[in-house]
Amino acid sequence: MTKFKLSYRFKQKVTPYIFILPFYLLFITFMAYPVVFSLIASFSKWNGVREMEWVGLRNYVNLIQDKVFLQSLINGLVMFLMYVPAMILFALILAILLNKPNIRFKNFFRTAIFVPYITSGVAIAYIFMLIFDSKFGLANKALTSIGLPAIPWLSSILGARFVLGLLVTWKYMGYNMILMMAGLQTIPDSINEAAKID
Amino acid sequence: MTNSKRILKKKINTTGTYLILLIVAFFTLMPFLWMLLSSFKSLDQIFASPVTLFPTEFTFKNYITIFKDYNFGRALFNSFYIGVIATGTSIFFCALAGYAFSKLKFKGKNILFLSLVRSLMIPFQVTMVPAYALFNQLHWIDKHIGLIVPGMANAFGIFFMRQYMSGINYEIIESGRIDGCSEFGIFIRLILPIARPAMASLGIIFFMNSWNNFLWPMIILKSSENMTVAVAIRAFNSGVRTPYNLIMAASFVSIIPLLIVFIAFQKEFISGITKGAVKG
Repeated sequence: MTKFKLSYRFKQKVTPYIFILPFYLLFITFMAYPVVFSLIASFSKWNGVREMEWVGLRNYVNLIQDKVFLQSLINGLVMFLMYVPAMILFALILAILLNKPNIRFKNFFRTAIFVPYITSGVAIAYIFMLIFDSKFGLANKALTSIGLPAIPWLSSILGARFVLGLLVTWKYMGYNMILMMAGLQTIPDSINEAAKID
Repeated sequence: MTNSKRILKKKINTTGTYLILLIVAFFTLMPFLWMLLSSFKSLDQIFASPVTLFPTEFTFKNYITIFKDYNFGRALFNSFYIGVIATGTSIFFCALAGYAFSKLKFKGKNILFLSLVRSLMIPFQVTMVPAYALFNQLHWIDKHIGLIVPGMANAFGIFFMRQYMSGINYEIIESGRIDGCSEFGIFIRLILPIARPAMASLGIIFFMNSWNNFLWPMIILKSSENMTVAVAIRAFNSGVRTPYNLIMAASFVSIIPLLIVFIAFQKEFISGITKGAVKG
């Protein structure tokens, strides 16, 4: 009886760990190990094949002097400031509009706005490259047909940034809209009522 | 304000709403329309000056070429079976771990769960190079196992399942224990059936991610017969002129499966997204 109890207890203790083991095995192999490896490699001279050679902070010193790296940091920040506020604002407006009770074809609008999110990034990249091609693209055709000058979208820094921001906004707007709709639905009606009365 | 004025205001309001929604829907769908139209054009028509909206000569040749000469069907098959295996195993292991984290007691639970949630913040690019070196040693380069195994369980899925299962009543588990079920038996017979909606939501998201995954497959897949859909589309672009006609046809084919899944399981899809993000 005591033996049975002991083994039952032991089982009770071990089972949870077995249940989470598959994830942690993968986590250690494909996440923790590579992260630690990256950290060590960042202090070393390593070409991917030969032995690592410890060089201390030299890689980091090189990095902060690297013009391309610094520019990429700025680019990242510019892109962030460009599309994040715009996307959140658009998503919120759309969510509010689609949350109105008397709007019909809600399902159609929601699907239409959400569909870019499920589309593969590769396909999206190519279709945007084609649409914003400076010579053969649809965007410039639309501009020139109403008498505006064509814009070198992808060959100018500003144009390329704009197109990239547009692509990201286009792809993730529907996703953010869905999140906001779910958020709006948790707001109690009494608050809306109060605002309307005011 | 008189009553008729109020009705008028409401009408303008509603019309404005429809107008905005229609304009937005036009811009979100327009690239797809352009993709479809371009896929029926020859390359010369795509690079014609001036560009025409509709194909001057409607051709199905692009679709025939991608399947006949580029073996795009193989890529579709690869993506499909990799997605199914990775999704199936991942749902199971995520549910298993999610159950342990939500309903079982064990030492170190909080620390382990915290480390799991923190791992969500590590971008893939950090692990990319060492992972490649590791996969090289395992001889997993240019093999599908290198795409399937790393995705067999993931932190987001466990987090998601834990959220869902925390709503399950303890009495169910207790009744299973009294009946003499093992913990694994309880999980299989009692918990999994209850968690079916959550598993469906998660499965759709996992399958979508697997289907659209690009960077890692691009890095490890080398031979054309092993390519997944996203990598195969990229591989069309090897000549001087980008063969947009073929790329558009392949892209359109590649989004159809997900589109069908999305339309058929819209509810599960959306609840998967919102439950994973809003509740947390």
